[in-house]
Amino acid sequence: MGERTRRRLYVLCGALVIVVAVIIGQLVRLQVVEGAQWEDEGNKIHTYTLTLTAQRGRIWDRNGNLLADNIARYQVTADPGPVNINKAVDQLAPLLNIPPNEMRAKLAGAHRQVLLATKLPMATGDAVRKLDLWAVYATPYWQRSYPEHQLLSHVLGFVNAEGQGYYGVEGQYDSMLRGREETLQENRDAYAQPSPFDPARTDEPRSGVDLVLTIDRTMQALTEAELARALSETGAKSGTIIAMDPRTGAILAIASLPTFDPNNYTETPTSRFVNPAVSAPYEPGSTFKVLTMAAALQEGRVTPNTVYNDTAWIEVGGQVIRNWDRKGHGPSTMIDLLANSLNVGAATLATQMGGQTFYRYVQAFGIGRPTGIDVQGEASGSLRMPGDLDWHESDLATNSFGQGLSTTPLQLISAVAAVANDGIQMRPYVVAQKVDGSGQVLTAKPIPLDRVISAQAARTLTGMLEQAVLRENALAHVPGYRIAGKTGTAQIPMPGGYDDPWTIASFVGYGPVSDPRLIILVKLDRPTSSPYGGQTASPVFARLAARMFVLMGVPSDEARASR
Amino acid sequence: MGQVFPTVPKLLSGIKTMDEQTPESHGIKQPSRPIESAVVKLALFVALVGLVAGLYLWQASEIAVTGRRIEALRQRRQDLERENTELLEQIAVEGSIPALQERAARLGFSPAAQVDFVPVTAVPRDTMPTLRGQWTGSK
Repeated sequence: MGERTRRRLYVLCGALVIVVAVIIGQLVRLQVVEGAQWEDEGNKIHTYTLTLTAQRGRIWDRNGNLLADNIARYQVTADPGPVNINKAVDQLAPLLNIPPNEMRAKLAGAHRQVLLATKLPMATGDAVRKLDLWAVYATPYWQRSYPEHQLLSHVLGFVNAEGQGYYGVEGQYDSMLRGREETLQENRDAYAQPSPFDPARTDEPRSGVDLVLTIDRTMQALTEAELARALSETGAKSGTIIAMDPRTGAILAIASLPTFDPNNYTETPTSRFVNPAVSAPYEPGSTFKVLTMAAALQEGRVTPNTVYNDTAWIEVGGQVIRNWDRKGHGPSTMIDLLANSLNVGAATLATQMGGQTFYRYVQAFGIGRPTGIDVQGEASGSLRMPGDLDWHESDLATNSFGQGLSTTPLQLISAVAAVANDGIQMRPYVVAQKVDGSGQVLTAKPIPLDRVISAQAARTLTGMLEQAVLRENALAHVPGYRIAGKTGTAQIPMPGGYDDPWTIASFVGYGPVSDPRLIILVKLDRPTSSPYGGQTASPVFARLAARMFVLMGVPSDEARASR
Repeated sequence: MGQVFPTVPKLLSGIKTMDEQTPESHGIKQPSRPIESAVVKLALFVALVGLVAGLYLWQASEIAVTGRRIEALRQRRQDLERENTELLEQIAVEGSIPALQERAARLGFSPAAQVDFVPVTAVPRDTMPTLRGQWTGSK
């Protein structure tokens, strides 16, 4: 090799070394010195943060009918930078039912990702995906759906667009229903496709827990239909019906009108979301006499045949208490007191027992505190007690017939259910089972709260209430079944007094008397056809109980006796 | 030729050429044994690197293909899940109370005016309504 060639080779080698050194230097600068900075930049471009939403748990009725479900919906977005506007408009506008000009303007004027359409049905979303348009994305998401629409809406509640449950069971069990979502960092290529090497994709969201309610869909539909009919026939502005199994506290149906469709909750006034059955206290009126009588019987102060002299009025704490008919009924038994719903008699019993004893029973029946039902937003009602600043001696008398205190419909039915259940009060509940994704079932057990009165006192009172219905409340009779019950006609409090002549008409009854399986409370607000519970609420109870006994498979008294 | 042949290994490995070892008078210049060995080693090295690179590429390609396949299956599963919920919803709507009432009325059914109970002594007395024990949810 000549010297010249050798020198050339040295020059070439030197040049190559310099080039390689520069490359290595740059690599060190990019990878080591400025490595973290460029890694961040790269991640910003290629790393996507994905939230994989879990499918919300479904809600079923006790017979496996679907009450709340999830349906797949799509939203379509486009990146205005890379998107081929003409092609996108030509192909998407007819699919998404958007005027082409409107879509073109949307895409042309935007700098960031544009939302073209949302709440698209699955077929449309799939069609958009199949178009495979560059920089157009069809993203599926879950939307809550209630296939029965208004049915049971107050108990179910609703779920908003962010997946947050509100009111009812949706609110109460929100964390359980929503499951576990997964947030992951996903690397994507230049085509925004997930990297096939990404290990983070092994995690999957966990679906929420399914709930099975104690409520029977058919009974619920019947109850709502009867309530609607009652409102129409009596002219009442609103109303509530609760049906419960007194032996377990399981709610069979809860209906309140007016109601709403949880599928369209955004178009509903927020006041409608509140479930009046558990969240709206009212003065229960004479249905409360059941509790007063229970206390007197348990204390041994009276028997069904104890007689007192019913004068037209009684003064307690400086306030004159009168009967609803403003008449004196003379010598009356305890059954007369219940049958004729005598305020003077109830006030007499309460004053004889004294405040300490009377309120001890009232509290034992759960008045003034939530029942603990598993739906969101339960109210506790109000009860003034001796010793409270705002308690007055006259309250003892008015409270004895259900005025001057407030309960929710659920509190009242729960208290009377204790009488139907041989004196044992059960905690009302609506969720019977929880079923997780692996099929594991957790069944709720009925929870006894307390024995409020003895079984003997409870049975005696049931017999008295049966007599009261037989004698004075023919409209509450259920053909073929012995029924115990009590009417209520309550004035409606307003600042400074009562809102005359409006009333809340109600009836609470249960049966069959020999083995109570069903208790129903009917409450009608401001009826116009008649102010009295005996004339407006009782027939609703009778019609509903007759249908529900059949649905529950409870034979008539005669059929059961013949077995 | 005699000039060029030995320069390649020299440039690459710095091994002394035949210029230093073999007299020009020998006529034909041939690589000595060390040079031959170096070339073989280099070739083996290149082959090994090629093999490793090939294996890496094959593995990466397999991972990519499998990853895509998993992604496609995941996508398919999600599509099926969505389809299932759609069908479940359709069943629920078809079986909803208003739909059933309408169909029943169309078929000429009406609410029972009277219910007669027939005592059946063979059935246990306690028929307390309970949840259907066999039903364990949808998932």
